[in-house]
Amino acid sequence: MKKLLLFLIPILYGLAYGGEQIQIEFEYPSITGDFYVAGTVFFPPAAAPDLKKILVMDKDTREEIPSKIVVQDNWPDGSVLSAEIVFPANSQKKGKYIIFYGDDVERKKSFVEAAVLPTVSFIVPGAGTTVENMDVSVGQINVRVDRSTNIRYWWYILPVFFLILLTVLRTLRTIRMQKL
Amino acid sequence: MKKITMTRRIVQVFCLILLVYGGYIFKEWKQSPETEQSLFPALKAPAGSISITKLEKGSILWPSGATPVIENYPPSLVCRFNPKGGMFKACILHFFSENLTWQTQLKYLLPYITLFILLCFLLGRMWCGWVCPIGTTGDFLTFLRRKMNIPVKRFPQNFRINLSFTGYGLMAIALTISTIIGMPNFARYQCYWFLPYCQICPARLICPLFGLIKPNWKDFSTSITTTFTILAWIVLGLFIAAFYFGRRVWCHMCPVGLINSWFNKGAGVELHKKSIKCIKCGYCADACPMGLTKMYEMDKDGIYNQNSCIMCLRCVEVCPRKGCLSVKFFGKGIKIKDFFRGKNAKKIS
Repeated sequence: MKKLLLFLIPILYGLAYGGEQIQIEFEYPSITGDFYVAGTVFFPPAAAPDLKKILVMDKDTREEIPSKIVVQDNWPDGSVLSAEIVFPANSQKKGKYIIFYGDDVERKKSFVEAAVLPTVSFIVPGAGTTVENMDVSVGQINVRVDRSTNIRYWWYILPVFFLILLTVLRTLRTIRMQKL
Repeated sequence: MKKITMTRRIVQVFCLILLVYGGYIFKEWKQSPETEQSLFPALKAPAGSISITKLEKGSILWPSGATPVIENYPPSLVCRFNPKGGMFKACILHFFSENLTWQTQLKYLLPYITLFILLCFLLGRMWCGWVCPIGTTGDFLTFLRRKMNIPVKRFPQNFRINLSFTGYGLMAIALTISTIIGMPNFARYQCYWFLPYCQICPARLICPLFGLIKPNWKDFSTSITTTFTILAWIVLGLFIAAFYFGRRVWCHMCPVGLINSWFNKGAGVELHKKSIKCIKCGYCADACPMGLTKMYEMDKDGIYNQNSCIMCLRCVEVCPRKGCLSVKFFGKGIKIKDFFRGKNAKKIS
Protein backbone atom coordinates (compact mmCIF):
# COMPACT_ATOMS: atom_id res chain seq x y z
CA MET A 1 0.00 0.00 0.00
CA LYS A 2 2.78 2.34 0.99
CA LYS A 3 4.61 1.58 -2.25
CA LEU A 4 1.43 2.12 -4.20
CA LEU A 5 0.97 5.50 -2.56
CA LEU A 6 4.55 6.41 -3.21
CA PHE A 7 3.94 5.47 -6.82
CA LEU A 8 0.64 7.27 -7.14
CA ILE A 9 1.48 10.53 -5.41
CA PRO A 10 4.05 11.70 -7.98
CA ILE A 11 1.70 10.70 -10.78
CA LEU A 12 -1.22 12.58 -9.25
CA TYR A 13 1.02 15.51 -8.61
CA GLY A 14 2.15 15.36 -12.19
CA LEU A 15 -1.43 15.23 -13.41
CA ALA A 16 -2.36 18.19 -11.27
CA TYR A 17 0.54 20.34 -12.26
CA GLY A 18 1.85 18.63 -15.31
CA GLY A 19 2.82 21.75 -17.17
CA GLU A 20 6.15 23.37 -17.63
CA GLN A 21 7.13 26.03 -15.18
CA ILE A 22 8.98 29.30 -15.28
CA GLN A 23 10.37 30.90 -12.19
CA ILE A 24 9.96 34.64 -11.94
CA GLU A 25 11.83 37.13 -9.84
CA PHE A 26 11.02 40.60 -8.65
CA GLU A 27 12.05 42.90 -5.86
CA TYR A 28 9.50 43.64 -3.20
CA PRO A 29 8.78 47.37 -3.16
CA SER A 30 9.16 49.57 -0.09
CA ILE A 31 5.42 50.25 0.09
CA THR A 32 3.27 48.45 2.61
CA GLY A 33 0.35 46.41 1.44
CA ASP A 34 -0.83 45.13 -1.88
CA PHE A 35 0.67 45.80 -5.24
CA TYR A 36 0.75 44.28 -8.68
CA VAL A 37 3.53 42.37 -10.31
CA ALA A 38 3.70 42.56 -14.07
CA GLY A 39 5.95 41.35 -16.83
CA THR A 40 6.18 39.72 -20.20
CA VAL A 41 6.94 36.04 -20.66
CA PHE A 42 7.91 34.25 -23.86
CA PHE A 43 6.78 30.69 -24.46
CA PRO A 44 8.12 27.97 -26.78
CA PRO A 45 6.02 27.01 -29.83
CA ALA A 46 2.94 24.91 -29.03
CA ALA A 47 3.73 25.02 -25.31
CA ALA A 48 0.86 27.21 -24.22
CA PRO A 49 -2.10 26.62 -26.56
CA ASP A 50 -4.11 29.53 -25.18
CA LEU A 51 -4.55 31.95 -22.30
CA LYS A 52 -6.27 29.45 -20.07
CA LYS A 53 -3.28 27.17 -20.20
CA ILE A 54 -1.12 29.62 -18.30
CA LEU A 55 -1.37 30.30 -14.60
CA VAL A 56 0.55 31.92 -11.78
CA MET A 57 1.16 29.92 -8.63
CA ASP A 58 2.70 30.43 -5.22
CA LYS A 59 5.77 28.26 -5.25
CA ASP A 60 5.50 27.20 -1.61
CA THR A 61 1.79 26.80 -1.06
CA ARG A 62 1.06 25.64 -4.63
CA GLU A 63 -1.98 27.88 -4.55
CA GLU A 64 -3.08 29.52 -7.76
CA ILE A 65 -2.84 33.30 -7.77
CA PRO A 66 -5.48 35.32 -9.65
CA SER A 67 -3.85 36.71 -12.75
CA LYS A 68 -4.55 38.89 -15.71
CA ILE A 69 -2.92 37.52 -18.83
CA VAL A 70 -2.89 39.35 -22.13
CA VAL A 71 -1.52 37.63 -25.19
CA GLN A 72 0.82 39.85 -27.12
CA ASP A 73 1.89 37.57 -29.95
CA ASN A 74 1.11 34.11 -31.21
CA TRP A 75 3.18 31.48 -32.94
CA PRO A 76 2.02 30.50 -36.44
CA ASP A 77 0.31 27.44 -34.94
CA GLY A 78 -1.80 29.73 -32.78
CA SER A 79 -0.09 28.98 -29.50
CA VAL A 80 1.04 31.78 -27.27
CA LEU A 81 4.41 33.32 -28.13
CA SER A 82 4.46 36.08 -25.58
CA ALA A 83 2.05 37.23 -22.94
CA GLU A 84 1.90 40.02 -20.43
CA ILE A 85 1.11 38.66 -17.00
CA VAL A 86 -0.14 40.70 -14.05
CA PHE A 87 -0.90 39.32 -10.62
CA PRO A 88 -1.37 40.74 -7.13
CA ALA A 89 1.15 40.34 -4.34
CA ASN A 90 1.58 41.65 -0.84
CA SER A 91 4.72 43.06 0.68
CA GLN A 92 3.89 41.56 4.07
CA LYS A 93 3.45 38.07 2.68
CA LYS A 94 6.61 37.65 0.71
CA GLY A 95 6.40 34.59 -1.45
CA LYS A 96 7.95 33.13 -4.54
CA TYR A 97 5.88 32.78 -7.64
CA ILE A 98 6.07 30.56 -10.66
CA ILE A 99 4.28 30.49 -13.97
CA PHE A 100 2.86 27.18 -15.10
CA TYR A 101 1.89 26.51 -18.66
CA GLY A 102 0.98 23.57 -20.83
CA ASP A 103 -1.91 21.39 -21.94
CA ASP A 104 -2.50 20.02 -18.48
CA VAL A 105 -2.77 23.41 -16.89
CA GLU A 106 -6.14 25.06 -16.44
CA ARG A 107 -6.31 28.61 -15.12
CA LYS A 108 -9.25 29.13 -12.82
CA LYS A 109 -8.60 32.47 -11.18
CA SER A 110 -8.46 35.48 -13.40
CA PHE A 111 -9.27 39.15 -13.47
CA VAL A 112 -9.49 41.62 -16.30
CA GLU A 113 -9.13 44.96 -14.56
CA ALA A 114 -6.15 47.10 -15.29
CA ALA A 115 -3.80 47.80 -12.41
CA VAL A 116 -5.01 50.40 -9.96
CA LEU A 117 -2.33 49.71 -7.39
CA PRO A 118 1.41 50.29 -7.72
CA THR A 119 2.99 47.82 -10.11
CA VAL A 120 6.46 46.28 -10.04
CA SER A 121 8.02 44.39 -12.91
CA PHE A 122 9.21 40.84 -12.73
CA ILE A 123 11.93 39.25 -14.76
CA VAL A 124 12.45 35.74 -15.93
CA PRO A 125 15.92 34.61 -14.87
CA GLY A 126 18.08 33.88 -17.84
CA ALA A 127 16.11 36.00 -20.22
CA GLY A 128 17.81 38.92 -21.84
CA THR A 129 16.96 42.07 -19.96
CA THR A 130 19.60 44.53 -21.06
CA VAL A 131 21.31 45.32 -24.30
CA GLU A 132 24.55 43.91 -22.93
CA ASN A 133 23.08 40.45 -23.26
CA MET A 134 22.01 40.88 -26.85
CA ASP A 135 23.96 39.03 -29.53
CA VAL A 136 23.60 40.32 -33.05
CA SER A 137 25.22 37.93 -35.47
CA VAL A 138 24.03 39.47 -38.72
CA GLY A 139 22.77 42.78 -39.88
CA GLN A 140 23.14 46.18 -38.35
CA ILE A 141 21.58 47.65 -35.27
CA ASN A 142 21.37 51.39 -34.85
CA VAL A 143 21.12 52.68 -31.34
CA ARG A 144 20.28 56.27 -30.60
CA VAL A 145 20.98 57.37 -27.07
CA ASP A 146 18.72 60.18 -25.95
CA ARG A 147 20.11 61.85 -22.88
CA SER A 148 17.23 64.26 -22.52
CA THR A 149 14.15 62.11 -22.09
CA ASN A 150 12.77 64.44 -19.47
CA ILE A 151 12.16 67.06 -22.11
CA ARG A 152 9.45 64.78 -23.48
CA TYR A 153 7.43 65.61 -20.41
CA TRP A 154 8.64 68.94 -19.16
CA TRP A 155 7.92 70.82 -22.38
CA TYR A 156 4.25 70.62 -21.41
CA ILE A 157 5.04 73.32 -18.83
CA LEU A 158 5.02 75.82 -21.70
CA PRO A 159 1.44 75.23 -22.91
CA VAL A 160 0.24 74.91 -19.31
CA PHE A 161 1.81 78.25 -18.43
CA PHE A 162 0.53 79.83 -21.64
CA LEU A 163 -3.02 78.56 -21.12
CA ILE A 164 -3.10 79.66 -17.48
CA LEU A 165 -1.77 83.08 -18.43
CA LEU A 166 -4.41 83.45 -21.14
CA THR A 167 -7.12 82.31 -18.75
CA VAL A 168 -6.02 84.81 -16.12
CA LEU A 169 -5.88 87.68 -18.64
CA ARG A 170 -9.27 86.81 -20.07
CA THR A 171 -10.75 86.40 -16.60
CA LEU A 172 -9.49 89.84 -15.60
CA ARG A 173 -11.02 91.26 -18.77
CA THR A 174 -14.37 89.62 -18.00
CA ILE A 175 -14.31 90.87 -14.40
CA ARG A 176 -13.55 94.39 -15.66
CA MET A 177 -16.49 94.18 -18.06
CA GLN A 178 -18.84 93.01 -15.36
CA LYS A 179 -17.96 95.79 -12.92
CA LEU A 180 -20.81 98.17 -12.77
CA MET B 1 -38.80 71.22 -25.71
CA LYS B 2 -36.57 74.10 -26.64
CA LYS B 3 -33.98 73.42 -29.29
CA ILE B 4 -30.84 74.07 -27.26
CA THR B 5 -32.16 71.95 -24.42
CA MET B 6 -33.03 69.19 -26.86
CA THR B 7 -29.53 69.30 -28.34
CA ARG B 8 -28.06 69.29 -24.84
CA ARG B 9 -30.13 66.29 -23.85
CA ILE B 10 -28.94 64.40 -26.93
CA VAL B 11 -25.32 65.27 -26.14
CA GLN B 12 -25.80 64.28 -22.50
CA VAL B 13 -27.25 60.90 -23.41
CA PHE B 14 -24.54 60.32 -26.01
CA CYS B 15 -21.80 61.22 -23.52
CA LEU B 16 -23.38 59.07 -20.85
CA ILE B 17 -23.37 56.09 -23.19
CA LEU B 18 -19.81 56.87 -24.27
CA LEU B 19 -18.58 57.19 -20.70
CA VAL B 20 -20.44 54.14 -19.49
CA TYR B 21 -19.73 51.79 -22.36
CA GLY B 22 -16.85 53.54 -24.08
CA GLY B 23 -14.28 51.41 -22.33
CA TYR B 24 -15.69 48.35 -24.01
CA ILE B 25 -15.55 49.94 -27.43
CA PHE B 26 -11.88 50.78 -27.13
CA LYS B 27 -10.95 47.75 -25.10
CA GLU B 28 -8.45 45.47 -26.71
CA TRP B 29 -10.40 42.56 -28.03
CA LYS B 30 -7.80 40.03 -27.04
CA GLN B 31 -7.81 41.19 -23.48
CA SER B 32 -9.52 38.10 -22.20
CA PRO B 33 -11.32 35.09 -23.66
CA GLU B 34 -14.69 36.57 -22.70
CA THR B 35 -14.14 39.70 -24.73
CA GLU B 36 -12.67 38.32 -27.89
CA GLN B 37 -15.84 37.87 -29.87
CA SER B 38 -18.10 40.79 -29.34
CA LEU B 39 -17.95 44.54 -29.24
CA PHE B 40 -20.06 44.65 -26.10
CA PRO B 41 -19.05 41.37 -24.58
CA ALA B 42 -20.08 41.59 -20.97
CA LEU B 43 -22.10 44.29 -19.34
CA LYS B 44 -21.59 42.66 -15.98
CA ALA B 45 -18.31 42.29 -14.20
CA PRO B 46 -16.82 38.87 -14.86
CA ALA B 47 -17.43 36.45 -12.03
CA GLY B 48 -14.70 36.20 -9.48
CA SER B 49 -12.88 39.18 -10.87
CA ILE B 50 -13.33 41.39 -7.87
CA SER B 51 -11.58 41.62 -4.57
CA ILE B 52 -8.37 40.62 -6.18
CA THR B 53 -6.35 42.00 -3.35
CA LYS B 54 -8.12 39.74 -0.87
CA LEU B 55 -7.76 42.25 1.91
CA GLU B 56 -9.24 41.21 5.16
CA LYS B 57 -9.73 44.84 5.98
CA GLY B 58 -9.86 47.76 3.66
CA SER B 59 -11.74 50.69 2.30
CA ILE B 60 -15.07 50.30 0.60
CA LEU B 61 -13.22 50.69 -2.65
CA TRP B 62 -11.36 47.48 -1.86
CA PRO B 63 -13.92 45.39 -0.08
CA SER B 64 -13.18 42.09 1.50
CA GLY B 65 -16.43 40.79 0.06
CA ALA B 66 -17.20 39.89 -3.51
CA THR B 67 -19.08 42.98 -4.56
CA PRO B 68 -17.68 44.64 -7.64
CA VAL B 69 -16.38 48.09 -6.99
CA ILE B 70 -13.24 48.93 -8.87
CA GLU B 71 -13.18 47.80 -12.42
CA ASN B 72 -11.29 50.04 -14.70
CA TYR B 73 -13.57 49.42 -17.55
CA PRO B 74 -16.74 51.34 -17.58
CA PRO B 75 -19.63 50.80 -16.87
CA SER B 76 -18.36 50.43 -13.38
CA LEU B 77 -16.72 53.71 -12.70
CA VAL B 78 -17.03 56.35 -15.35
CA CYS B 79 -14.70 58.58 -13.37
CA ARG B 80 -11.87 56.31 -14.44
CA PHE B 81 -12.88 56.40 -18.09
CA ASN B 82 -9.85 54.94 -19.69
CA PRO B 83 -9.79 51.66 -21.55
CA LYS B 84 -6.26 50.91 -20.46
CA GLY B 85 -6.53 52.08 -16.90
CA GLY B 86 -3.93 54.75 -17.38
CA MET B 87 -3.63 58.01 -15.56
CA PHE B 88 -6.12 60.13 -17.46
CA LYS B 89 -9.45 60.20 -15.73
CA ALA B 90 -12.77 61.75 -16.55
CA CYS B 91 -12.78 63.00 -12.97
CA ILE B 92 -9.96 65.42 -12.27
CA LEU B 93 -10.27 65.04 -8.50
CA HIS B 94 -9.79 61.31 -8.86
CA PHE B 95 -6.74 62.00 -10.99
CA PHE B 96 -5.13 64.32 -8.45
CA SER B 97 -6.06 62.23 -5.40
CA GLU B 98 -4.69 59.06 -6.89
CA ASN B 99 -1.45 60.55 -8.09
CA LEU B 100 -0.84 62.42 -4.85
CA THR B 101 -1.08 59.11 -3.03
CA TRP B 102 1.13 57.36 -5.51
CA GLN B 103 3.52 60.30 -5.43
CA THR B 104 3.68 60.30 -9.19
CA GLN B 105 6.29 62.68 -10.50
CA LEU B 106 4.83 65.89 -11.82
CA LYS B 107 6.46 65.48 -15.20
CA TYR B 108 4.39 62.38 -15.92
CA LEU B 109 1.20 64.21 -15.04
CA LEU B 110 1.91 67.26 -17.15
CA PRO B 111 0.47 65.92 -20.44
CA TYR B 112 -2.83 65.14 -18.71
CA ILE B 113 -2.91 68.43 -16.85
CA THR B 114 -2.27 70.22 -20.15
CA LEU B 115 -5.15 68.42 -21.79
CA PHE B 116 -7.44 69.22 -18.88
CA ILE B 117 -6.49 72.90 -18.84
CA LEU B 118 -6.86 73.11 -22.60
CA LEU B 119 -10.39 71.71 -22.45
CA CYS B 120 -11.30 74.02 -19.59
CA PHE B 121 -9.81 76.98 -21.39
CA LEU B 122 -11.79 76.24 -24.52
CA LEU B 123 -15.09 75.19 -23.02
CA GLY B 124 -15.12 76.42 -19.45
CA ARG B 125 -17.53 74.50 -17.31
CA MET B 126 -19.41 73.00 -20.23
CA TRP B 127 -18.45 69.58 -18.86
CA CYS B 128 -20.98 70.06 -16.08
CA GLY B 129 -23.86 71.11 -18.27
CA TRP B 130 -23.31 68.90 -21.28
CA VAL B 131 -21.26 65.84 -20.34
CA CYS B 132 -21.19 65.01 -16.63
CA PRO B 133 -23.09 61.74 -16.07
CA ILE B 134 -24.02 62.83 -12.56
CA GLY B 135 -25.45 66.04 -13.95
CA THR B 136 -27.39 64.02 -16.49
CA THR B 137 -28.77 61.83 -13.71
CA GLY B 138 -29.69 64.92 -11.76
CA ASP B 139 -31.40 66.47 -14.75
CA PHE B 140 -33.47 63.31 -15.01
CA LEU B 141 -34.50 63.72 -11.37
CA THR B 142 -35.43 67.31 -12.11
CA PHE B 143 -37.46 66.08 -15.08
CA LEU B 144 -39.32 63.69 -12.77
CA ARG B 145 -40.03 66.50 -10.33
CA ARG B 146 -41.43 68.61 -13.13
CA LYS B 147 -43.61 65.75 -14.31
CA MET B 148 -44.94 65.35 -10.79
CA ASN B 149 -45.74 69.06 -10.63
CA ILE B 150 -43.60 69.60 -7.55
CA PRO B 151 -42.52 73.24 -7.45
CA VAL B 152 -38.79 73.96 -7.64
CA LYS B 153 -37.19 75.13 -4.43
CA ARG B 154 -35.06 78.23 -4.84
CA PHE B 155 -32.13 78.57 -2.51
CA PRO B 156 -30.74 81.96 -1.48
CA GLN B 157 -27.40 83.07 -2.84
CA ASN B 158 -25.68 82.79 0.55
CA PHE B 159 -26.69 79.17 0.73
CA ARG B 160 -25.16 78.52 -2.67
CA ILE B 161 -21.95 80.29 -1.68
CA ASN B 162 -21.78 78.19 1.47
CA LEU B 163 -22.21 75.10 -0.67
CA SER B 164 -19.19 76.17 -2.71
CA PHE B 165 -17.15 76.57 0.46
CA THR B 166 -18.28 73.12 1.56
CA GLY B 167 -17.13 71.75 -1.79
CA TYR B 168 -13.74 73.42 -1.47
CA GLY B 169 -13.47 72.10 2.08
CA LEU B 170 -14.22 68.55 0.99
CA MET B 171 -11.73 68.87 -1.84
CA ALA B 172 -9.03 70.18 0.49
CA ILE B 173 -9.64 67.38 2.99
CA ALA B 174 -9.59 64.74 0.24
CA LEU B 175 -6.36 66.02 -1.29
CA THR B 176 -4.70 66.39 2.11
CA ILE B 177 -5.57 62.83 3.10
CA SER B 178 -4.39 61.60 -0.29
CA THR B 179 -1.08 63.40 0.19
CA ILE B 180 -0.57 62.13 3.72
CA ILE B 181 -1.23 58.48 2.92
CA GLY B 182 1.22 58.79 0.07
CA MET B 183 4.03 59.37 2.58
CA PRO B 184 5.96 56.22 3.46
CA ASN B 185 5.19 56.53 7.18
CA PHE B 186 1.47 56.54 6.54
CA ALA B 187 1.37 54.08 3.67
CA ARG B 188 -0.25 51.47 5.88
CA TYR B 189 -3.41 53.59 5.91
CA GLN B 190 -3.74 53.51 2.14
CA CYS B 191 -6.07 50.55 2.14
CA TYR B 192 -8.54 52.53 4.27
CA TRP B 193 -8.19 56.04 2.98
CA PHE B 194 -7.30 55.67 -0.69
CA LEU B 195 -9.38 58.09 -2.81
CA PRO B 196 -11.27 59.44 0.21
CA TYR B 197 -13.67 61.64 -1.72
CA CYS B 198 -14.48 58.82 -4.16
CA GLN B 199 -15.64 56.74 -1.23
CA ILE B 200 -18.46 59.17 -0.53
CA CYS B 201 -19.01 60.44 -4.07
CA PRO B 202 -22.55 59.75 -5.32
CA ALA B 203 -21.09 58.74 -8.68
CA ARG B 204 -19.59 55.66 -7.05
CA LEU B 205 -23.05 54.45 -6.12
CA ILE B 206 -24.98 55.70 -9.14
CA CYS B 207 -22.78 55.13 -12.18
CA PRO B 208 -22.33 51.36 -11.84
CA LEU B 209 -26.11 51.03 -12.08
CA PHE B 210 -25.97 52.25 -15.68
CA GLY B 211 -23.85 49.22 -16.44
CA LEU B 212 -26.15 46.86 -14.56
CA ILE B 213 -23.55 46.45 -11.86
CA LYS B 214 -24.45 46.52 -8.21
CA PRO B 215 -22.25 49.04 -6.45
CA ASN B 216 -20.68 48.30 -3.11
CA TRP B 217 -23.32 50.19 -1.20
CA LYS B 218 -22.50 48.92 2.27
CA ASP B 219 -19.46 47.68 4.08
CA PHE B 220 -19.58 47.42 7.82
CA SER B 221 -16.45 45.33 8.20
CA THR B 222 -14.46 48.05 9.98
CA SER B 223 -15.26 51.30 11.71
CA ILE B 224 -13.72 53.29 8.85
CA THR B 225 -15.68 51.51 6.15
CA THR B 226 -18.81 51.88 8.25
CA THR B 227 -18.20 55.61 8.52
CA PHE B 228 -17.58 55.93 4.82
CA THR B 229 -20.66 53.83 4.04
CA ILE B 230 -22.88 56.06 6.17
CA LEU B 231 -21.28 59.22 4.77
CA ALA B 232 -21.84 57.92 1.24
CA TRP B 233 -25.52 57.35 2.01
CA ILE B 234 -25.89 60.83 3.46
CA VAL B 235 -24.18 62.40 0.45
CA LEU B 236 -26.31 60.33 -1.92
CA GLY B 237 -29.43 61.47 -0.07
CA LEU B 238 -28.31 65.09 -0.29
CA PHE B 239 -27.51 64.63 -3.97
CA ILE B 240 -30.95 63.24 -4.78
CA ALA B 241 -32.69 65.87 -2.67
CA ALA B 242 -30.61 68.64 -4.23
CA PHE B 243 -31.54 67.65 -7.76
CA TYR B 244 -35.08 66.68 -6.97
CA PHE B 245 -36.05 69.85 -5.19
CA GLY B 246 -33.67 72.45 -6.47
CA ARG B 247 -32.34 71.70 -9.95
CA ARG B 248 -28.54 71.95 -10.08
CA VAL B 249 -27.92 72.78 -6.44
CA TRP B 250 -25.45 69.90 -6.13
CA CYS B 251 -23.24 71.40 -8.82
CA HIS B 252 -22.41 74.30 -6.48
CA MET B 253 -20.47 71.95 -4.21
CA CYS B 254 -19.17 69.37 -6.68
CA PRO B 255 -15.35 69.55 -6.40
CA VAL B 256 -14.88 68.73 -10.08
CA GLY B 257 -17.24 71.52 -11.06
CA LEU B 258 -15.44 73.87 -8.71
CA ILE B 259 -12.10 73.14 -10.36
CA ASN B 260 -13.67 73.66 -13.79
CA SER B 261 -15.23 76.89 -12.60
CA TRP B 262 -11.82 78.55 -12.18
CA PHE B 263 -11.65 78.72 -15.95
CA ASN B 264 -15.18 79.88 -16.64
CA LYS B 265 -14.62 83.61 -16.82
CA GLY B 266 -11.65 83.21 -19.12
CA ALA B 267 -13.08 80.39 -21.22
CA GLY B 268 -13.37 80.43 -24.99
CA VAL B 269 -17.12 80.03 -24.73
CA GLU B 270 -18.39 83.51 -23.93
CA LEU B 271 -21.90 84.53 -23.02
CA HIS B 272 -22.58 88.06 -24.25
CA LYS B 273 -25.28 90.51 -23.35
CA LYS B 274 -26.46 93.57 -25.23
CA SER B 275 -28.15 95.46 -22.48
CA ILE B 276 -29.93 97.88 -24.76
CA LYS B 277 -32.04 95.02 -26.03
CA CYS B 278 -32.87 93.73 -22.56
CA ILE B 279 -36.47 94.25 -21.48
CA LYS B 280 -35.83 92.94 -17.97
CA CYS B 281 -38.35 90.16 -18.38
CA GLY B 282 -36.34 87.96 -16.04
CA TYR B 283 -36.78 84.81 -18.13
CA CYS B 284 -33.03 84.19 -18.12
CA ALA B 285 -32.65 84.35 -14.34
CA ASP B 286 -35.75 82.24 -13.94
CA ALA B 287 -34.49 79.56 -16.30
CA CYS B 288 -30.95 79.32 -14.94
CA PRO B 289 -30.60 75.93 -13.26
CA MET B 290 -27.76 77.26 -11.10
CA GLY B 291 -29.89 80.15 -9.88
CA LEU B 292 -27.57 82.82 -11.28
CA THR B 293 -28.81 86.31 -11.95
CA LYS B 294 -25.84 88.16 -13.41
CA MET B 295 -27.21 88.03 -16.94
CA TYR B 296 -30.38 89.68 -15.68
CA GLU B 297 -28.72 92.26 -13.47
CA MET B 298 -25.96 93.40 -15.82
CA ASP B 299 -26.77 96.82 -17.20
CA LYS B 300 -23.99 97.17 -19.71
CA ASP B 301 -22.80 95.30 -22.75
CA GLY B 302 -20.28 92.59 -22.23
CA ILE B 303 -19.51 89.04 -21.19
CA TYR B 304 -21.53 87.69 -18.31
CA ASN B 305 -19.68 84.41 -17.76
CA GLN B 306 -19.81 83.48 -14.09
CA ASN B 307 -17.85 80.93 -12.14
CA SER B 308 -20.87 78.85 -11.25
CA CYS B 309 -22.34 78.88 -14.77
CA ILE B 310 -22.52 75.39 -16.26
CA MET B 311 -22.87 76.75 -19.80
CA CYS B 312 -26.18 75.04 -20.41
CA LEU B 313 -27.20 78.07 -22.51
CA ARG B 314 -30.70 78.07 -21.09
CA CYS B 315 -30.52 81.84 -20.66
CA VAL B 316 -29.70 82.31 -24.34
CA GLU B 317 -32.44 79.92 -25.28
CA VAL B 318 -35.25 81.48 -23.30
CA CYS B 319 -34.36 85.10 -23.97
CA PRO B 320 -37.26 86.53 -25.96
CA ARG B 321 -35.19 89.39 -27.43
CA LYS B 322 -33.17 88.40 -30.44
CA GLY B 323 -29.53 89.40 -30.03
CA CYS B 324 -29.85 90.33 -26.36
CA LEU B 325 -28.12 87.27 -25.00
CA SER B 326 -25.78 85.36 -27.27
CA VAL B 327 -23.03 82.81 -27.11
CA LYS B 328 -19.68 83.42 -28.78
CA PHE B 329 -16.51 81.44 -29.11
CA PHE B 330 -13.48 83.67 -28.55
CA GLY B 331 -15.55 86.63 -29.59
CA LYS B 332 -16.80 85.03 -32.80
CA GLY B 333 -20.53 84.75 -32.81
CA ILE B 334 -22.08 81.33 -32.93
CA LYS B 335 -25.21 81.86 -34.94
CA ILE B 336 -28.01 80.44 -32.94
CA LYS B 337 -30.79 81.14 -35.35
CA ASP B 338 -34.40 80.44 -34.84
CA PHE B 339 -33.66 76.75 -35.09
CA PHE B 340 -31.87 76.85 -31.78
CA ARG B 341 -33.92 79.52 -30.14
CA GLY B 342 -37.18 79.19 -28.30
CA LYS B 343 -40.60 80.07 -29.55
CA ASN B 344 -40.52 83.38 -27.69
CA ALA B 345 -37.75 84.63 -29.93
CA LYS B 346 -40.09 84.67 -32.89
CA LYS B 347 -42.79 86.45 -30.98
CA ILE B 348 -40.74 89.33 -29.61
CA SER B 349 -37.84 90.16 -31.88
